[in-house]
Amino acid sequence: MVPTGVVAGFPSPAEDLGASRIDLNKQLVIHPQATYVQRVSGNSMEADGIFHDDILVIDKAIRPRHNMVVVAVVDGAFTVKRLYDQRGRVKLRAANPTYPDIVPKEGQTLEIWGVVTNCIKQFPRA
Amino acid sequence: MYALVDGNNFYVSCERVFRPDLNGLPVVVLSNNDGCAVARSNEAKALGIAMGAPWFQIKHLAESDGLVALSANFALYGDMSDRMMSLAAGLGPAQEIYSIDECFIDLTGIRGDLVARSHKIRARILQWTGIPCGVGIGATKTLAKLANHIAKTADRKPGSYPAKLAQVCNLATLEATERDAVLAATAVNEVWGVGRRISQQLQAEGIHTVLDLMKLDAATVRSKWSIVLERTVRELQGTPCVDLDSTPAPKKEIACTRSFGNPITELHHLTEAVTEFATRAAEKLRKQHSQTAQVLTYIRTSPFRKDDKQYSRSVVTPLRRPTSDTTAIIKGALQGLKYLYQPGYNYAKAGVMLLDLQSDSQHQTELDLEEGDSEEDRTRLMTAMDSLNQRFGKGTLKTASAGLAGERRAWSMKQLRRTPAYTTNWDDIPIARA
Repeated sequence: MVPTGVVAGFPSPAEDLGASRIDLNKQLVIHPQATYVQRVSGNSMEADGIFHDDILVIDKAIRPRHNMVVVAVVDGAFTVKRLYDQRGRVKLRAANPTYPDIVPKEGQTLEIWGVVTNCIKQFPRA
Repeated sequence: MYALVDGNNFYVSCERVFRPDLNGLPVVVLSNNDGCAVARSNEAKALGIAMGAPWFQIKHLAESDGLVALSANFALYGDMSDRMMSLAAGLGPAQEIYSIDECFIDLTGIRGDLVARSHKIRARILQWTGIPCGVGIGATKTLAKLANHIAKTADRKPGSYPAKLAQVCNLATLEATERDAVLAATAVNEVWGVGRRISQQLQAEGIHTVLDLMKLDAATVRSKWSIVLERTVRELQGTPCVDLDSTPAPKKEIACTRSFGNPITELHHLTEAVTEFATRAAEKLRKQHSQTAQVLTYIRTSPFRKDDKQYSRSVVTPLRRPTSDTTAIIKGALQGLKYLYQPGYNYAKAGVMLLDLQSDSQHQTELDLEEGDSEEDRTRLMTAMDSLNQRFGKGTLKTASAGLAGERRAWSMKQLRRTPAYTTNWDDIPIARA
């Protein structure tokens, strides 16, 4: 045992646990080289808890699957939507049902840029 | 065996990751002060735009062919390079980062199908970063570099080489007749280290293809040309003459990186290492009569120490003006290090890369408002330092890296078309529509 400098009193019950402070990077980032952030603009995903000005954490290493929230490339721009991929039909759906689905045209493939793993909301600090 | 992993049209590819609207369009990235094209998309190459073409000469193509020109965004390229390099490192036990977009991997001891393994790493780099790469494999670094050229050309121009060599090319697994056909289809000036002057001399002697060069007698080459070309010929013949770290100066960037003997945890030890790397990089810079405008610093833990917490980051520090002054370069590199350093990691590797190089003969004069030595004095000091170090051994005269004084100075450069620092500045991150 190595003395810890405390000469009297009850030993700290946390001493043996080897606990280290929660690291947000470890919680939010699975694949560091594949992780990117983008800022949300618009309201179509509010029902999924994604609001205007929120920050998306995006992992390009994760294979996109049905019902995942993804960033896709639509008309050359990044778009966040929910991926619908069932029975060979692929489209993007907004969480807000008043927005139409985005369906790739004949012969077009839907380009999924990455999978959204987290959404960060920053509150005003001043 | 060596592999060379090289990002295709790297600067343009980095831009396209965050600007998917640029896919399919002719795109060039312009150098320092928007002077000339330093990277071209395949579509821009197809328009006949040459490497280094001055912007004013190709400007009209914006109007006629939709050419898009961007200012170099080194903060973005540095970060994307870091991501790509740390994934490429998984290919083999040792890595030499040769420039911002290419690295050599030592494949010693790697068993199994190297081509399949390389395709897997290439696919991972493409998926995780969006950067397409070519991988060349060969018995020597020169052969790996040549194989990389073949892999990229076969991918870009179908029909130029057998289709199976596209993206990943291993020269060592080809049948002799097939390999000779490939080498006979490759011009001699594509060989690493064969410049324009040498290739003209070679062609005058009837040596037009890589195969012609490879078939020469090494001793004859030495007596007729030079020991350098002899080394190249030996490398083409499969005898390794260039180790993983001791390489001739690259064209676009100068890098000095090294793995540490033992893991380093303390900032002051990293400071010493980075000072040393910056010093050596500055020497190389002066040797090739160049100046740098941006210094990239990186530190990283070892991906092979699986139990260690992993950390790998890089940062690009712009310098106040292009320089080859060791002091200024060290200062930039250490500013970067101070920003990157996080306690609690076992650092295994660090490096300094000098970017945005230009010739030291072209000067941009400015009104000197600072106290201190004039530029001529500094140049003479650096020359004296180099010759003393050459005469009495590396590191005889060093720059004391104790006091890193001074605030970061304002930096201004003519970069009218620069895209945001998408991955390194919180205020610059891309927008996702919802």
